Amino acid sequence: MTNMTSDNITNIISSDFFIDAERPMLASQQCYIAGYINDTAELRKTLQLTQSHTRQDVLNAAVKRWGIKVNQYLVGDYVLVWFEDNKLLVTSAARASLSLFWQQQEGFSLATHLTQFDKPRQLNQAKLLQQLVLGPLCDSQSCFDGIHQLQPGETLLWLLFDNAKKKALLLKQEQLPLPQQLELTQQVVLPKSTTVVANSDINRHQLFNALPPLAHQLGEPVADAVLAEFAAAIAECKEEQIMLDSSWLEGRSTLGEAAFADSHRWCKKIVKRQLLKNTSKVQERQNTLKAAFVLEQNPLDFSQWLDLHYVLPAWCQLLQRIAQQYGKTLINPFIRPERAKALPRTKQNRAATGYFDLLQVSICNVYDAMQRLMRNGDALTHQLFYLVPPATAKFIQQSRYRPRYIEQVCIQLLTLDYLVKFRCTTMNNGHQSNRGTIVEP
Amino acid sequence: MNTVMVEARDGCQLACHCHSPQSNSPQGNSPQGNSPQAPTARLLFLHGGSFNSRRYANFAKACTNAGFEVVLCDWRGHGESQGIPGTCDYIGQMEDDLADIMASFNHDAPLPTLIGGHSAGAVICLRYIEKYGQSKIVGTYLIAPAVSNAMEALRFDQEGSKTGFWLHFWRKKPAFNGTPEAARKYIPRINTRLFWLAFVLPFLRHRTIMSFPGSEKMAKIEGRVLNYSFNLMVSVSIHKYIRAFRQINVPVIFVCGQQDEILHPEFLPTVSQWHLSPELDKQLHMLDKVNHMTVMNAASRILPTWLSQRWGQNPSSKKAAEKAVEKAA
Repeated sequence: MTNMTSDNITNIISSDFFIDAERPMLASQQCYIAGYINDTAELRKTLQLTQSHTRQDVLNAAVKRWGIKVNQYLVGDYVLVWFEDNKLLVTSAARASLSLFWQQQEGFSLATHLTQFDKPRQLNQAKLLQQLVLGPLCDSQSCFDGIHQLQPGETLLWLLFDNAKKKALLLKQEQLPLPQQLELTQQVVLPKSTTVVANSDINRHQLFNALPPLAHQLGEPVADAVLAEFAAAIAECKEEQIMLDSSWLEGRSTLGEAAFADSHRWCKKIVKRQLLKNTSKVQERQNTLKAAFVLEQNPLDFSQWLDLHYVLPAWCQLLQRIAQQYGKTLINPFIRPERAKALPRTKQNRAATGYFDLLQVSICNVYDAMQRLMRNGDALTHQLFYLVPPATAKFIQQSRYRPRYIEQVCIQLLTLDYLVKFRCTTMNNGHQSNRGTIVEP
Repeated sequence: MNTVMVEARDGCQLACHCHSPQSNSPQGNSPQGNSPQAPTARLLFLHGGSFNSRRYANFAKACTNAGFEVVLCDWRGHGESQGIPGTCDYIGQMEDDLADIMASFNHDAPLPTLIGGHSAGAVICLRYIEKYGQSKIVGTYLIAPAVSNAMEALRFDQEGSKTGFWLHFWRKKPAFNGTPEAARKYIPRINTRLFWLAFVLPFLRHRTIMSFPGSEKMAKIEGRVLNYSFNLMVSVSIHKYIRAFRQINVPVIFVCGQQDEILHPEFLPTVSQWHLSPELDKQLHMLDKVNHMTVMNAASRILPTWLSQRWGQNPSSKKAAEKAVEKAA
C-alpha cells in the first residue's frame, strides 16, 4: 500500500505507509523509504557500485550489507522499510522528523499516521498524563494503548507469521546512542525549500475552530494552538517542500521544563484520581530521563539536553505529520545539532503569552470552552477530569502566571473530549499495553 | 398551495400549507412546457417565534421551483392552527406536533422528508431530533437557530448575564456587551422573576413570561402572537444544545447572517467544527449584511441548490433520494 518509486531516493518523497501482515503489498528485498537521503555518492563508493546502478539499487545493497545497522550509514531524514524472508526491518534516521507507528494487538500493522489504524484507538492514560504534565516528548509509546512509535535512530526487526491472526514477533530493537545521532546528523545537507513563517496577525476565532479538524486529522489531542496555525499556513502554501521555521517551535518545552521543576502540582486541581494513579509512571519517566542525562556527562544543562533530544524532535515529528496531511514535506533544519542548539528558548514573546486570553469572546475562548464542557458540553472525559466550575476556575486563574501552560492543557482537554465524542478515541481503564516480545536472535 | 389540517395527538387541528411543484406551476405545467415532475423530497418547515407560515411563502416558492414539496406548518395557537395563542399544554408539545404532522404526511404520500425552520422553528427541529431521532428524516436545514438560553450563543449580553456568568464559571465576567437600541426591536423581553416563579409553581406556567417587541394592533393584522407562556417559551428553547447538535447524523445545512441580532456570529462556525461529526455532510453559510429576518431571503437562494445536489431530479441525486425513501419507509 505504498507508492514509492525506485529512482527518487535522494529526492523528497512525501508518502504514507500502511502495511499490515498481508505482505503481498511489499515486494521482497526492496527498500521503501519516506523522506530523503543525501549520501548516495559516498554509498556508491563504499558499496562498490557504478553510476549505472539506480538509487534504489544502492539502497537495497546498503540494507543487504549493513542490515539492522543501516541507519548508521544512511544520512538524511527518513524512515525506511525493508522486507525479506518473513522478516520486516524498519529503521529511521538519527533525529528523524518522520513518524512511523506500529501495533500488534489485533494483527500486526505499521502506519505513518494514527488515523490509518481502523478501529477507535484506546486512550493510554499514563501517556495522557505524561503529555499533560511534560508536553510532547519523544517516546516509544503513543497516546493510545498498544500503538507504538518508532524513535529517531531506532531500528526494529520483526518476524511475520503467515497465519490467520497476522501476528508478528519483535526480534530486535536498537536505537542509536544520542551522541552518535548528533554526530551523524552533522553530515546532513538540507534540500532547498521555501520557509513559511508564523503570522503575527492571527484570527483567534478561526484558530479556535481549527483545533477539532486538526485533532481529527492527527488522530490525537492537539498539543498547542501553534499547530493549528501551522496547519492553516501549510494549507495555504503552494510549495511542496517547506523549510521549518523556528517560529513554529515557540510553543515547545515550556510545559516540560516547568513540570520537571514543580512536579506537576498544578494538575491535581482538575485531574481525577483515576488519571492521577499514573503519576508514578510519569515520575518513572522523569527519573529515567534524568538518569540518562547524568550518564551522558555532556556540557549541556538538563533543560537544554531535554529540549535537544526529546522535546524538539517530538515537535518536529508533529509538524511533519501535519505537513504530510496536506501532501507537503517539511525540511527540518533543526536535525542539525548546531541549528537546534541555537534555537531560542526564552520565555518571551508569544511562547509565554499564549494565543487565547480570558477577555476574548466566550464562544471562541479555550478557557470558557473548557469550563463549559461539563455544564452543557456533555463531557465524555468526566471520569478523568474535574470540570466543575470551582476547580476549573481555580485552574485557569493560574493563566496569569503561566498562560501558555494552562492554554495547552485546555486545548488538549477539549480536543481529547472531541475525539472521544466522535468515537475516534475510546476511554480505557489504563491497563498496560502488550508490547512485542523481544527475542535476541 | 393547499392547506391541510392535521390532527395532533390531543385532537388539536394543525394547519399545514402544502406547496408542491405541480400546484405551483401555471396551468399545472412547468415553465418549459413539460408536465412538472413529482417532488423528490418533502420539506417540513417551522416558522420563527411569534410569526406564522404566511411570512415564508417566498421560501416555499423557491424550493418548489427546484422540484421539492414544501409544507409550511403553523405552530399550535399560531396562524390558522387551533390552540390557545401563546401557550401549549406541556413542555415538548411542539416537537410532538411535528412528529404527528410528519406521520400524517408520510402515511398519505411517503416521500423522503427533511425538517427545518427559522429561528425558534429550527430549535423545535433540534428538539425533535433529540427526542425522536433521525430514522424518519433524510436531512435538516436550520436557518438562524435561536439557541437563546445559552449565554455564549448570544450576540449581546442580557440583563443578569454578569451574575449568570459568575454562577456558571465562578469568576467575574471580563466584559459586558449590552444590547444596542437597534437590536432591541427584535429581541423578546423575559420577565425573569415570573419565569423562576413558574419554574417552581406549575400553575403559573400558562402566564405570560416572554413578550416580543411590536404593537398589538399590527400584530393582530399580521397574525402574530406577541406573548409567550413559560410552557411555550421552554418548548422553543433547548437546554443542552451541544448534545442535540452532536446527534445529527443526516445532511445538515446552516444559514445565518453575520448581523444576526440574536446569535453570535461565531456561534454556528463553532457548532459546526466542535459539535458536529467530522464525517457529517454539513454546510455552513454565514452571510454578510444579513440579519435575523433578512436571512430568509438568502436561505431561499441557497437552500434549493443544496437540496437539488442531494435529492434533485438528476440521476445521481435520484439514487440518493431512492435510498432516502427506503430509509423513510
